[in-house]
Amino acid sequence: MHSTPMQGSATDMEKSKRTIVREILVSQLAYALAVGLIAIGCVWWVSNWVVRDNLEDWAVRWVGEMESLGAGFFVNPADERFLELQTYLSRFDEIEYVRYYGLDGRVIYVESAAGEPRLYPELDAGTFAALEKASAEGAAGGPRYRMDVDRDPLVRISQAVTRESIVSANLFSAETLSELEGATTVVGFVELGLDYSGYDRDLMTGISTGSGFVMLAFLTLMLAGRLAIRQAVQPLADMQQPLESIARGNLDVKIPTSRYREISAIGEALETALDSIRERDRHLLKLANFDPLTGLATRHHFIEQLTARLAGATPGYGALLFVDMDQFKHVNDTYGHQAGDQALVQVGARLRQHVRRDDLLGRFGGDEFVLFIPDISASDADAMADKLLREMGEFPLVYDDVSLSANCSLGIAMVEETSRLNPEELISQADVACRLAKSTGRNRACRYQPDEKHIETIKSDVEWQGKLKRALKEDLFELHYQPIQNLADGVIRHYEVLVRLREGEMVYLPDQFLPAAVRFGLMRDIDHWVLEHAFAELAALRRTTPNVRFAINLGGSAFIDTTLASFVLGRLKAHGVPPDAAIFEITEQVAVGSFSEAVPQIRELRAAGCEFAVDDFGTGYSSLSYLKRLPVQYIKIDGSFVRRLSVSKVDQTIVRAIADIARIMGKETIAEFVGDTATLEVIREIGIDYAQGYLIGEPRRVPQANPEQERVVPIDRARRVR
Amino acid sequence: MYRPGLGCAGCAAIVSALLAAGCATSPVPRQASDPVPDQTEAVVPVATADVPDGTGQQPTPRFAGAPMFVVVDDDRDRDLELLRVFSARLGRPYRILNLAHRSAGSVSIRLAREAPVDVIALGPSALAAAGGIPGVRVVHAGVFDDVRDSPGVDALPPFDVQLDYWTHQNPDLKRVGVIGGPLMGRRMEDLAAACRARGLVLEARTVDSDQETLLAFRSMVPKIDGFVFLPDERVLSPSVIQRVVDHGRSNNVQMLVYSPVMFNLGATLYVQPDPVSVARTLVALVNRDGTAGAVREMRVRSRLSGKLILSSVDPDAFDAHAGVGY
Repeated sequence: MHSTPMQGSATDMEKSKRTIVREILVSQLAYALAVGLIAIGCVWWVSNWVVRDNLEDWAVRWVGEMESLGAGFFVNPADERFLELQTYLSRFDEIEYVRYYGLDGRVIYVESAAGEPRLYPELDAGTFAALEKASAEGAAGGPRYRMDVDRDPLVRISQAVTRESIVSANLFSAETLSELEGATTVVGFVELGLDYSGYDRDLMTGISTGSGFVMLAFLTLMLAGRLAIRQAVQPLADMQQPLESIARGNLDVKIPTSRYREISAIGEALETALDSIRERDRHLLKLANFDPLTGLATRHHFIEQLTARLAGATPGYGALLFVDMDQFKHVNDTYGHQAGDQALVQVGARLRQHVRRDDLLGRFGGDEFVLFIPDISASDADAMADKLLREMGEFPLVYDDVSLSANCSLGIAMVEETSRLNPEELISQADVACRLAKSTGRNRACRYQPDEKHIETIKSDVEWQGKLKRALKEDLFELHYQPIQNLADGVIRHYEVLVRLREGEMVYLPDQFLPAAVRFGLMRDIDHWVLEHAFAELAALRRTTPNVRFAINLGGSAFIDTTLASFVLGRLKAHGVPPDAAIFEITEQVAVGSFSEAVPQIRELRAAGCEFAVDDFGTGYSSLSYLKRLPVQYIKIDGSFVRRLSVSKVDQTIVRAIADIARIMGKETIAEFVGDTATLEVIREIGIDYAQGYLIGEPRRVPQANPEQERVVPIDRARRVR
Repeated sequence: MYRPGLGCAGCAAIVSALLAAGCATSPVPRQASDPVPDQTEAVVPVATADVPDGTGQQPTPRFAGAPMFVVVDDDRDRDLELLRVFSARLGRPYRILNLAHRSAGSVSIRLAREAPVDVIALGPSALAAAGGIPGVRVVHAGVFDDVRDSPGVDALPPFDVQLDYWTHQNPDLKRVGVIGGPLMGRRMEDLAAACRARGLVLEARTVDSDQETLLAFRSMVPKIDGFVFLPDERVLSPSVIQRVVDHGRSNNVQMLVYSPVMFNLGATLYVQPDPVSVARTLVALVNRDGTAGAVREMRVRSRLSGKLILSSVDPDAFDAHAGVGY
């Protein structure tokens, strides 16, 4: 069972993702904002410092002017001087007021340009003393003025009003001012109130305006930057469509180029990957469509092409020839699988010689070949068949200086209206005709005649084909599990997986539907279904029974699929099942008949940890020599030797011999069809390792839970005989 | 500046040089490095003569055996030149007491002890140190303030000579300003009279402090073409002097000064009584020959022509001797 994960809204997921453009812009924005704020802060601080420094210079200059202008107050107040003071104050908006103090600290005059000046509190005695001292010390003692900023932007600057005269008598002779000695007398004090709020306002206005321009320029640059980044990143976005197309399986896409090195590198890598995928797909397609041994079309590819041809075929003018080699099994058994392969290759080559451009030729697996000839009459088809038979008979196959028979049986089916619409039916008709040719003596051709018996066979074949396809699509197959007991400790550690087809109340056994499956090329799909579901069930069972294992049957056609091993390992990994939990049972015929395809894959699965068992052992023709070379760990003794084991000495001898050989070769033995305790005793006495049969347990829909707890038959260890 | 290492040998050399040179007749550029010695003894006997003192009485030979002192404010080379001429014309020895090297009190004590008949006081400090000693007649020169109790030579050339020269050099001069303290009344009156006689308008202000000087000058500047910078220390300060000169220069007001420092700061015209004439007059006053009068010759440093000109002005000829221009 496959569970479908809940899918959220793809649109919401897309919206929640971040874009490169936004990331870059956000980081740029953050950086620029930080830089901008720092810059504005620095500009404000520097400007403020420069302005204040400049204002202080002006304040010093103004208070000096006030000292000069107000000198008259202390000697001879006059209207003229008063007017000059007012005139001076009116020129500078920053001067809020000027206040003069006498030497005793009393205010003697206050003047302001505004009607209601904001006055600092009057200077105190301590300030007067400090100002007087500063004036006395001169330049060496520091500035003469004192500045108060505690009411900023209203600033106060104050200093003593002094009168200076030259006390040295060298004015007529001195060449430089430094030779003149002066004496300073403090006559009063002056205080100047300055309002810098205008500067602050202007400064803030200037900075705000400047900042506004900076922000405007910044936003403009950001927009331009966004466009530039988008343009730069666009080639990446342009890759989305071709990548989506590739994801949908369309490899015929063009990766956009870019002038940017990084994106160009990605594009080149994608092109390289695409080329590899295309090459792999061509290879896979070739593997899927063409038989690696003979190079002929596979069943699947042949049917594809046949379907297309039948669409334009004329009823009665077009024939399908079904060619089955006679004695192919004998060749395989007698001369080995390499000889058999060579025979197939040579037959395929001979058939190819008769193929015209519009004809179709394929190998349906094993020793079956199919040839479709369009636009041919029945009589010409018969003649073609006779020709082929003659050539096969006249020119034997050669292998290692050995002549092998190339005789074939041939079935002919003409394209009729019904079969034109159903290629499978045409193939079935030809197949039926071929079987008739075989049954009537071989090395001959028969043309399909639609009598009742044949129709029934064809119909049955078509029905089975439909059933099997539906079963695959609708999961109508079932897996049943039969326990296999370890006779040493009586513990059931593994189960054989048996497939059934359920149609309503009907349950079909494998021998009822597997031949049709083989005939219609559905075994691979059925094998995959069985493996997938068996692994899923095994994964679930191992959560409660960690050491349980499954033995899964693999048919002969399974190893024709060269991707079987990778499929098995992939599904084991997907279900979280360790490879050593899987045992694969293959029949003797399969092992021998598909030896060249089977052994490499068996070795690959063995290397991963899987184990193999030879099923139905003892019914083949050359069992022992292959047994030495097959990398299997178990031998399942065919049930025909076990059913009457308790009463048949011959069977006992055979089974004992098989057990001895297996033991010496380091393989374990399993006895099938153990149906009674007497048989069980015998096989235990012989030394068989495992027992399977109705006595041990019937195949059930669900494997038993806690199989270690289940002991079908009490074990008497003392009676075990070696 | 007096160099202690020179000693008597240096003094003798200087006196010899003075005698060998005879009368100094032409103005020479200022030599800044010649010190005025503290004491000197004349080595050349001089002739005796009765020099009337202008009082109608026959002069008595005073120099015979009577010490004579010259008290100087400092060791400026201007006094040095004057002393050269004075020495040459005086004809008798004298001692120099330099206030740059001794205190005014010690000078007074010395004079009181020595009881000279005449003392030449060059400068206000010398006058203050030498004055008030009973029996001592002080003849002064280089004193700006009004001095009523001793004969002497005015520190300033007569205003008419100055204005004649100034207006001759600058015929466009029409309005003149002057600022002084309360004690400068007479000077201002003299200047006013001289201006009236020459058709010049005088803008005069009396102030009490240096700040007022600056203020008055600033308010006066729009109304004047030239300014007479009276060297009244009571209402001047180094900073005000600088600012007044700067302000005048920036407003194209020509400034007539009597102080070298003001001229060096950029004033237009610097005048002083000709030292030779002063020396000659001092000798006449000392000898009481009755010929002493106001010193009308003046020495000028001028920027009126755009060049720095050092010249002597003979008001009678009124032909400024072209001096060294630089």
